[in-house]
Amino acid sequence: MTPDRLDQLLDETLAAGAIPPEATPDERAHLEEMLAGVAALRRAAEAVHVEADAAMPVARARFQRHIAASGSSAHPPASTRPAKSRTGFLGGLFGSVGALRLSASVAAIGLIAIAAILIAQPFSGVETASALSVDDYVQVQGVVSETADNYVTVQSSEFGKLRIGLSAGTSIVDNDTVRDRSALRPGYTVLVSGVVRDARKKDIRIDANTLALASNGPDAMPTTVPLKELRDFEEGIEGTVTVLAIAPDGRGARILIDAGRGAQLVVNVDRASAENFVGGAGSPLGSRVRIIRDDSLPRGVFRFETIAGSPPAGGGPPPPGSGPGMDGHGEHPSLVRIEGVITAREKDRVTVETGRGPVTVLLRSHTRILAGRSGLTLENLRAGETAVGHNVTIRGGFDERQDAVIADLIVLGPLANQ
Amino acid sequence: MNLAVRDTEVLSDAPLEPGPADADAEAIAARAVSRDPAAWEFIFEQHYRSVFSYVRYRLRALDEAEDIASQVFEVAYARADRFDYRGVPIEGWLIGIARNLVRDHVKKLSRRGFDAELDESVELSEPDRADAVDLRGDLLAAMGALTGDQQEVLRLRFLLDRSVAETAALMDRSEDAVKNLQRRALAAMHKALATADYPMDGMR
Repeated sequence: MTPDRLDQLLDETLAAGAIPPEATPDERAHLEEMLAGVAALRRAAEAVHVEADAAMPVARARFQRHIAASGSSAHPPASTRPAKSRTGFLGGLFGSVGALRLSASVAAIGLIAIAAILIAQPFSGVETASALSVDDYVQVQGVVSETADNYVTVQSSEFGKLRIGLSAGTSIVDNDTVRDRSALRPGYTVLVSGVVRDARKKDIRIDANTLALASNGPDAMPTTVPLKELRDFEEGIEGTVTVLAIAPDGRGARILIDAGRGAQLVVNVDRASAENFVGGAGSPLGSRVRIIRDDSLPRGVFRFETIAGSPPAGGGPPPPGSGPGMDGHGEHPSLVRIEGVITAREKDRVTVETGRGPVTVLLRSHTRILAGRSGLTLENLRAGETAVGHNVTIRGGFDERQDAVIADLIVLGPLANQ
Repeated sequence: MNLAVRDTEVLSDAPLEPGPADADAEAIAARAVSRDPAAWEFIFEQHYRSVFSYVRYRLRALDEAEDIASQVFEVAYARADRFDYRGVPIEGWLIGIARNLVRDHVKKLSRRGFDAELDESVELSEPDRADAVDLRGDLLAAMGALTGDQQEVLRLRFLLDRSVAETAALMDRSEDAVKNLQRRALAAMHKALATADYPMDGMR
């Protein structure tokens, strides 16, 4: 029991509302002590929320009076905040030195030309660390280079070495079966589905929810390629998705695509595109996508779509015994994927009616839920909304003992009868 | 959720709907800069509870908390055009104002001799009149045994229900540091509550 492990267990416990089963008795005792304080704090918070609700009408009226009394004329709008009139780099460098003006101008023209070329490039180099953030849910593929009791090291072409933490809750699957850790052998390609715990360059750590193996290894170690961030839209950018990362609240997402330009592009994508992508058929990694123009999005955020007819890397392996509701196989490693309609939910256990019968799905503290086109919000769901009756697509691993899918990623759709 | 905005945005008179995505938040913040009343009403509705709760847990008297929570929005509105929102969530900005107002208030109380023992991190130390308060009396006494940072992490995480990432942003700490602080704070609180024979039924 280390402080880091306790931090992690506490985090998982707070997210799930229950102590993870892998906690040892000592750890459980510590966590129970801490949870007692949390329960007390939450009861106090509820009481204060009652006070806040009671105070709000008076406060609202006071604030409205304040706004009315202040009047917008008293404060000129700042909507057109002027750019500061300051001398630019080139101006500062050349503008004040009269004797050098001519030669400076020549140099300036050269520099401006270089700058123009650089500006014309819609990409800028990014540090690896900025492509991932702590607590992102991520799917990334690589080749196992080293194994240990509680982790494996995976070499990825996007990030170099990744340390992949394993726990009792980590599910290991390949195309047709659930595997144990001995299946994680150096040289084998693996798809990692997990949560980023450390995003520092050269020290990226991911806690694995699910590892999906390719059964045809061993494979050559990939070499690391540079990353470039897409800043401005450019027609014709398309490529193969190599990494998917989703922020904790589901509102931000990033994909890395291999666009055949000698670098992988880091693309910040909008929520709707990400949800469509994750909720669609096939595995996200390996799908070909194109970036499409959407001027309504903030600068640096892009819409994208899957290119029709592109061969995604399989729809996910079925659990042992070809369980119901599982989509087909793929040659590349991919997660279990089911789709259907939620018919029941009890705490962390959801029943999904699929085309091949009911499937039990277990929610874990690491499970990421995207509200998609469901009309629900994460707040609804946290407050106990069961989402029964909604279409759903789920990706994750499989628990053989419980004959259930372990949900890594859930994309909710609209009500099935709509 | 990142509510950061860049400094010049096109303003509009479009009505505001609840549940803003990041892009909406940017537009709202830009409208707030120009003191668009609709934007400010929206911000009030979205953040009053959090601001009130933050203040309430730092002041013993309900009426003082109500007054200061209102002042937070008035000050923010007055200073709107001086803000550069880049990288600063709206809520973080409001909480920052609340923190300063509470600090000033506590200093005034101290100068007046209302409570020489008050300090910035342990303003809450006695039971209040309301119901909450039997509960809160012990809790706050327990909070008093914690460091300022430990108190802050508990306020943000469990009283304002902020995520680890949001708490890290509001405290300008790393998420790992927040998790570490959280564990230490809860352990210290358990110790303090156990001493006070506080009922320890938690979620198990």
